[in-house]
Amino acid sequence: MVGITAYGGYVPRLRMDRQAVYAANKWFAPGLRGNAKGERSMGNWDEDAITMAVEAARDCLAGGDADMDGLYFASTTQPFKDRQNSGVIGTALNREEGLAVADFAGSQKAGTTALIAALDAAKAGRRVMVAASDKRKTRVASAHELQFGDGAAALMVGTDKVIAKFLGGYSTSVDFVDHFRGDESDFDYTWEERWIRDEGYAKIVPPALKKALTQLNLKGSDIAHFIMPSLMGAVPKQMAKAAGVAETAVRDLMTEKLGDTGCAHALVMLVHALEGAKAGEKIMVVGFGQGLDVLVFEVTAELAKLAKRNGISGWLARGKSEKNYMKFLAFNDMLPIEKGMRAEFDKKTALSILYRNRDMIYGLVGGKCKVCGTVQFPRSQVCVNPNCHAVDSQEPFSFAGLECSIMSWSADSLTFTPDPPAYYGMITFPEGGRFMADFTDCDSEQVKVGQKMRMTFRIRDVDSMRGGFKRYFWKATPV
Amino acid sequence: MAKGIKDKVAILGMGCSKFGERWDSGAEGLMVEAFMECIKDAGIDMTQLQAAWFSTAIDEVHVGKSGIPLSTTLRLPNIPVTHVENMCASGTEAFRGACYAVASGAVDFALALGVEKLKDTGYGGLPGGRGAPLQQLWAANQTAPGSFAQLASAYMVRHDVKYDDLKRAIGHVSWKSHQNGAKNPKAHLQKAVEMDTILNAPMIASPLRRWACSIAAACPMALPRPSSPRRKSPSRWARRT
Repeated sequence: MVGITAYGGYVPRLRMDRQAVYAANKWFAPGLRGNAKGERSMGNWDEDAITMAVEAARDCLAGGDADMDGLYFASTTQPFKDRQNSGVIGTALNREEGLAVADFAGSQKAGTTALIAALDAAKAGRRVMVAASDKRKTRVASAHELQFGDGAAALMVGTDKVIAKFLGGYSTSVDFVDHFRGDESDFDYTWEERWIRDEGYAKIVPPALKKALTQLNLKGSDIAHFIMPSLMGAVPKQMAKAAGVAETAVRDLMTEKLGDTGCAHALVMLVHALEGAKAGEKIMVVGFGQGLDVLVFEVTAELAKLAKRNGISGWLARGKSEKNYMKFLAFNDMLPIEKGMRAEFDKKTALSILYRNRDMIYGLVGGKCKVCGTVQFPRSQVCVNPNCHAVDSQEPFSFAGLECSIMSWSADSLTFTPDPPAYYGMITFPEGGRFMADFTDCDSEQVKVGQKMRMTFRIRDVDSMRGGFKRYFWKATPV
Repeated sequence: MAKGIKDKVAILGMGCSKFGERWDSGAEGLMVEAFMECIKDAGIDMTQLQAAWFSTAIDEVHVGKSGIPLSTTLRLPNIPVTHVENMCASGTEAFRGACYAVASGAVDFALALGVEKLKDTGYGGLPGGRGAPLQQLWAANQTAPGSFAQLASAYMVRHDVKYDDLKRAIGHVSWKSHQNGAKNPKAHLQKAVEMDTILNAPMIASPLRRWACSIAAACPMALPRPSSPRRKSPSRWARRT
């Protein structure tokens, strides 16, 4: 049996209040009023498609090792045009040797396409993780600014302990350009909604859904969860109806609290559906973007045995409302904000040094001394224990999944950070090891001595002088 | 068996530049200012100097590397100059090196000079940057005030000190320092700062506020010499090893 064996999700902590966005822009675009309800997720300044995918992947692994043969990463906002983005995620998961990685991009159905590729690999006996994530930039006072959200989902696909059996599906390609993002732009360019609905969705989707159902010898009424992202709220219901799927089966687009997470959204909605699905239920997933992918799954009894994880619901529940639209713009590099001279320091990365230390920097791997057992970060040639000082005695020891606590801290207003003040301090791990770490996703009242923290993979610097090379490392955030 | 340097070295003369932002001067000017005072105080001729130790911590914003800046600025008489760096302890590092040279008997007269001219960066506070290329990849985004602030936040919890008491204690140290500084004609600030001003100053790196953070550039120096320089007071003798 081939199918999904585990799921994970991620939603950034900040939620941009749409009314605040509208209030700032209504002088210019009063027509946005209809979209000015609820909140959209908003990545912190130190989050991008890779960091969100890492969090979703960790959630999918639920604290376990990255036991997999492949890692496929889908995003239309891959941080690197030429550098294996999925490989960065793999290294952050402390997994490289023998790992087949691939980046999927170029369409809003990239997430479902990556999932199909992973299912194909699973048929050949491989265990593959699919991570999908998007953090799209939007123009000021655009509808997209209100409609989009930032988020990620991850699915493990294989043949062992399948929680959702893959029944089959159907894919087709149609060069229907409802929108595009050209090589010269950071933003989407969209054609008229009515045309997209009538010539696009209405003519392309229903026949494909019917083909998929016929092939699987199913009826529309067999589908318990119909998942189809769209920026037009009524469209999924119309498509479901055309395929005979009950309106009650159509999954909520999660507009109210999250927004559309781009090519990740079909998988985000799938993860959300799996969180509450029951054995025997059939789930239809539709990814639309210059054609479409249709996938049908059947939930198994294994789902109820899956270890606890945050999923999309868990991360959604820990949100913090943000009413400062200026902060949203600044975090998304949409505001030429005065950063001061301390922002000018050169961020050039010595790639050879990064490579030698990539397990430390990307995997947060320290050391454990084979002679005295002392756990330490960073791993050094000479053991830190003054009663040991053994040389070349340390085995790799991963800190990424460990909880730590704050020993000392400061809120620094002198140093440059996109979100002042900069919180950082000494963190200590009960297993051993301590270092001075940056904090992220925290409020002043959470930063105190003894506060329990978890580690999260984040951007620390962006080298704008060299085309935007991103420096990633781990930061501590309140549990 | 090591015997240390106790009673083997004496300070012959001292000089110190005026502290301050010193928009009028580069590091070279501060070095000359302190050296002229020192050599006059020592009562020896510059040609008698046989070795020099030169310290800086953030030389990338003023003199740069090597001992050459000291040699060329003072036109030293073709003597070896050792450039040392050890962050805030750089000055004492130069002094220690000069003492050892004299104590060992290698030279009769050695010069120790430390200089820092930090206010030509275009921004306030200590010059930034995150150190070595590997550190840049993982060290926290920290500044000097933020590093020292760590002590306060941990101390407060460890010894159950209330924030207001801690704030007042830190403020009192600043108040005392500025009271003393105002009496020194070479101090940056010639006017004492009131407690209210200190306690209500802008936060730099909590709990350290504006007046608890260092702001000035300095240039002290010293001259060690062996044997018994009777004309100098015993308090100028190097006592530590």
